[in-house]
Amino acid sequence: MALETRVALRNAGKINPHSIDYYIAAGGYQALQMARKMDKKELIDKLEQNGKLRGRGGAGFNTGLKWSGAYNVDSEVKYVVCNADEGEPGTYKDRTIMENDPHTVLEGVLICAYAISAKECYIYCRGEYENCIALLREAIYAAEGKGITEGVKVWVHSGAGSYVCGEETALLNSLEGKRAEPRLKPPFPTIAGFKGKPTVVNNVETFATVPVILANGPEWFANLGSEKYPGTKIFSLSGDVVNKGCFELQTNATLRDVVIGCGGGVPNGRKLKAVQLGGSSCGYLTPKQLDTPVDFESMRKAGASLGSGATLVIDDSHNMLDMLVKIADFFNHESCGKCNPCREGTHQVSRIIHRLAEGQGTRKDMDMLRKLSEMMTMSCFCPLGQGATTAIISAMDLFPEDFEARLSKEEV
Amino acid sequence: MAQVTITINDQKLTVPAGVTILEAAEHAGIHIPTLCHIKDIDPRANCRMCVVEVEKFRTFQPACATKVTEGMVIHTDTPAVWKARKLNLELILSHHAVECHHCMRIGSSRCDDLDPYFCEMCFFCDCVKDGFCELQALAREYKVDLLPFEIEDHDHELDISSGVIIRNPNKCVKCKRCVDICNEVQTVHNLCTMNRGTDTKVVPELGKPMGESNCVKCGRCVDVCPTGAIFALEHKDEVIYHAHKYETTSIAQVSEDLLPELSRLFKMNEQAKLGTVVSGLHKIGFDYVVTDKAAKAVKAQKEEQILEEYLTSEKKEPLMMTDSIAVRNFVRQNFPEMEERICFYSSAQKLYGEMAVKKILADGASRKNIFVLNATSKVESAAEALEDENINCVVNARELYRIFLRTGVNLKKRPSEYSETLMDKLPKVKFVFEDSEWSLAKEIKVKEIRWKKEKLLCAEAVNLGQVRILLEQIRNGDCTYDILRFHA
Repeated sequence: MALETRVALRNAGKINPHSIDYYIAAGGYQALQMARKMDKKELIDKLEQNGKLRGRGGAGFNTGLKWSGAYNVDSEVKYVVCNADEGEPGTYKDRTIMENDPHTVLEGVLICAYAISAKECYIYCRGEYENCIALLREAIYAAEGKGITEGVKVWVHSGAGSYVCGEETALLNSLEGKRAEPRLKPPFPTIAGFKGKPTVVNNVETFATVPVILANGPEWFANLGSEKYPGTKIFSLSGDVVNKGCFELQTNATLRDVVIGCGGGVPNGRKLKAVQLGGSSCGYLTPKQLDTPVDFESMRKAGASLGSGATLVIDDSHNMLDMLVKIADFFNHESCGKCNPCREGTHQVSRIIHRLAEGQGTRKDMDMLRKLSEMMTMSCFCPLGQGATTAIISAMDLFPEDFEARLSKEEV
Repeated sequence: MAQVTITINDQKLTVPAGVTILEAAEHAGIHIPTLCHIKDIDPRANCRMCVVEVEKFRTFQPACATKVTEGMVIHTDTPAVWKARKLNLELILSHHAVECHHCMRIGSSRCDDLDPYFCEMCFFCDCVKDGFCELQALAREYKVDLLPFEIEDHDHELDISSGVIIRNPNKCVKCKRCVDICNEVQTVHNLCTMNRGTDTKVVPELGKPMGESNCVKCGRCVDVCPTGAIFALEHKDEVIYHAHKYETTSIAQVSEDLLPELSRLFKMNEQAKLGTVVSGLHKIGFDYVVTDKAAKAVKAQKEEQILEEYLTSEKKEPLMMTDSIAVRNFVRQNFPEMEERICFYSSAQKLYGEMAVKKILADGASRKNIFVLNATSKVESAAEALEDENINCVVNARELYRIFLRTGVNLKKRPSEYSETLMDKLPKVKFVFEDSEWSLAKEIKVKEIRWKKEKLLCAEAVNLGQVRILLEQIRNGDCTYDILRFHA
């Protein structure tokens, strides 16, 4: 597709994911070899300043800066952890990468391991992705066989079905065999992460992008897409859209390019009602905002966020409350139970949303939702609770008529 | 130490770098509410009651866990912070079985007084922590009245299986203080968190009942629980019944460790005298009230004997001695091979029980008509009483306070009576070892003691974590002390 620029997905569908030879034939592991000839500091600087690569997991933190954080800590033992616990509803980009090209993830991880002098790496993969886990293990075995890993050990660790493990410190706790609860920050994982040692935690998409940046040069990458959030981003389209699937676009593309250009718009002649970009903890965008560029800053300015790139397209046949019920139930189910506002808050939010969706709700309930949201956004321990009500408030602001239509008739 | 300048509520403060906002505020006399925080333990920031506004931060920051930095501007009491804390409390209370006189029906948040006398009058509300509860105090502070949420079902069963440490999960606010104490300080690793989200609960290992779990009955979880979710079994009715009954010869032992808390509860300006407590117990019908002097002296005598025997024997390894039942349970579970090498001897409570029963039997009473009470704040003693046929029950300061309230005894108005001892003449002892208080400390206290020209290095373990460290040293053969004393 012309709109697409495939970087992380460059080999998807072109090579046999089971075979390391295909990957090598496609230019794989050359970046790793280049990296290993470079000075570590220089390598990290290139990523940080020239490539300006920012994390693709959702927070948009400068990857090179993260690596240099771990690089600068004086410690004999360091770790690299790849966050493949893709739990955000509607996101399947990491799965697409891992299923089609597991070696690129491995290469990215190995480059990072070299850069920060880590000897052990973990890929924490979502438990449901059995296929990916098998493929990754196969890839590691093959790479070890060819001596590519150079003694660096890479393990694949299966998650156990917890959304909060997408949060890096909760992931590290889970990896250590502890309860999956987020940790206090600071210290950040780059200082004290896995087993208290400096640890770099990056998303699959980030690691998959790194080899290309090194192979093509950081300047090439910096010139792609928008200035502050350069490169490409994978969008996983789902919902009321003709073409469902993963599309990788430069970040100066607009939402229209994603939804209409790649996605082919809304099927069955219906009208587009809203797009939820980034996942369940992100706000909605209206058709009027379709021309917003899909980079991190523009999205934030538009009151939405890029998040993981999950793109849920909603047509006008839906009442937003029906979506919100699912979202509220999801957060109620996934709250880890550590902090009060999230544990009890998501529960009450879910109750209220159910009441509203069933036509039993009142205006008072809507006010309470706003109050709860305000408090949870400010007080919760981790982003799960802080973002649990974003979609609800966004829907209340953008589509008040959906709520009005379902308000209890008995209200005095 | 480097100092930083911060501003809390427009007040400029210079504090050492590295302290938390909470510590800095406390130092300046600024109150920040907490619910899950335990001093000297790594903060968890679970309850989010201590959230404060820090300029340049997107969200509120927990004061207990946020370290101050140069130029930090903090607001602890803005309307937004107040609102967030109140809503947080309302959320907690909607999942808490309110059985105290923070009564939702009458809007008692307008009443500042936390004294439980209302409750004692109508006997309707029934929570052991009524009047002492941190959640109740916070609810008053934040004027929580009618809850804006549906109240959750309180369908957890009371866990009374341990016989002394009772769990009421319906009142648990999941602050996880008990979990921290059990795992981090006592290293018993019994209490843990199960499930997630609203189903989160604190349970003994593997969700077993307390009685079948690894619990060693040290009772430290009871001491830290902010609500009535974990408490020691109460004996108010039993005590009043037996004290009143003419056929029963009742005897009570009181000790100094009750006084600070009793004085606080009775809102006394200076500490109550032991004599007033003696007189109070006499008034409600106790036939004999004694102090713990005799029992302590006999215990010290035993300790001297043990020391003497040890010194005359072939010293293969340090002398390990304890009178604590929790330590015994702890050793059985974690160091079973060491049990025989440790010298377990009778605690002061056990000795008191033996002496009291002997004394009253000598007066011609029959055993079934003797009621022996020990008043002490240690939950561990209550656990010990379960196994001790001589002690009928143990009450703590709070319970004693409630017994006094119910029977109309006002300590402020009691004369101080001379307290008897169980012996006409106390034995002469040197008290080689001092009493140790339980603490969170990680560092083990070491003291040199002299005994008949010999200098001995004595290590006092004041919590089970320290006991574990010392026993591991013994196991590895690198212990450098002569005497090890274990407390739980």
